[in-house]
Amino acid sequence: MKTDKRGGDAASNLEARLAGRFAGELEQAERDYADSAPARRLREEAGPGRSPSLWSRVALPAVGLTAIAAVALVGLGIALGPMTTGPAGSGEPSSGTSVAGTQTAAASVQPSASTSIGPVESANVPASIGGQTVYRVGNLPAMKLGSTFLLGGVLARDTSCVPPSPYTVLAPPSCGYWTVGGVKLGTVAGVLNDSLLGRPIVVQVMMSRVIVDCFAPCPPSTFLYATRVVWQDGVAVP
Amino acid sequence: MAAEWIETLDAHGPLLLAAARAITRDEAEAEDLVQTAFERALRSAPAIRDPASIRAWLLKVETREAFRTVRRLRRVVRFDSRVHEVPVAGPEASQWAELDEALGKLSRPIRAAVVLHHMVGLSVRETAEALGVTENTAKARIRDGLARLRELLDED
Repeated sequence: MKTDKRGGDAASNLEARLAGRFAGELEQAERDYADSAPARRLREEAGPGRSPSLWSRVALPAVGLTAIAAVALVGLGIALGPMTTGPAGSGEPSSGTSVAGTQTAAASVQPSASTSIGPVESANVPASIGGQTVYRVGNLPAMKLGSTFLLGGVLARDTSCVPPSPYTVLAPPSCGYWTVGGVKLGTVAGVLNDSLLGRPIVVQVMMSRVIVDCFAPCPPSTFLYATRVVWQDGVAVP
Repeated sequence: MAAEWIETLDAHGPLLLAAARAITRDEAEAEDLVQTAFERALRSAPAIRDPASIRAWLLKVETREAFRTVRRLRRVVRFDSRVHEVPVAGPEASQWAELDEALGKLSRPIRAAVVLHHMVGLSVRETAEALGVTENTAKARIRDGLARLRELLDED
């Protein structure tokens, strides 16, 4: 424990809180690290026939390049590419592509006529699709950046505020523009539209971020957005 | 690459990830920083003679990269930062919300100093080294950071 000669008990209390906070952060990192990109990279390095050179070329400029990509997506309203999800049947939110991260895409959700659809439950949406749980506003899963999950409910507009032009394509949750079962969402261009208003749907949702370039204190930059509609009118959307 | 060296780096992974998260408050950037620290470590393995200093060395690489990244982004983009946080579910979220919010209001240089010294546990000298500043500057940032946190947290 570090000491601060100015603060006495107050400093000690604050330091204890900081230390406790980091203990929690470290505990969380212990859980997350094994699945993180750096850990995967190290495992590759430890394996035979792998060269660090490719990673060197990719990792170092990644932040700058993805920042440009994220800004381009927001500014131009270009829809994202293939969406990501976890292993079919896992039922858990999954880690996948981050708009501004360096993770790579996992397998895409591609519902088809043969996709298994669970029984329709609350909010008139199925309990599961393709073995994946459909979450509702009342049971949202723990989320981290880049994670995806299925969200079900009735589509509505969020009229609580005016979307901040020109960023309506990826409007932040406080000005969500859309809500699904009451959960505020941003969206990429064309995924949600007025023709679906008032209807129960299931969307794939991703937690992502906008690259924020500001001088501290900077506001948080994570938010949820819908990446695709996976179920509507009783059938999976291919 | 010696397996022991990779194992050493791997063992430091969670600490680096936790520190990077605390400094950047951004998951993707945090992972990028850990990757960069590993990359440098892999390239520099033969030059690092003292295994005991590896933790501080890795944190130095990571922290300096954090500031390089910010500078680079400032050159590349200007962006409307009016976005708002989605509360991340989890048992720790509410427990630490107040402290996290206060830490988020510190400037990145001040926050990094507080994180490295009071959270990660680096000495003032190691913190100064990681930040690339003098010890006096590091001390001042740590002191200012604590004072600002007390103010924000209403601690007298």
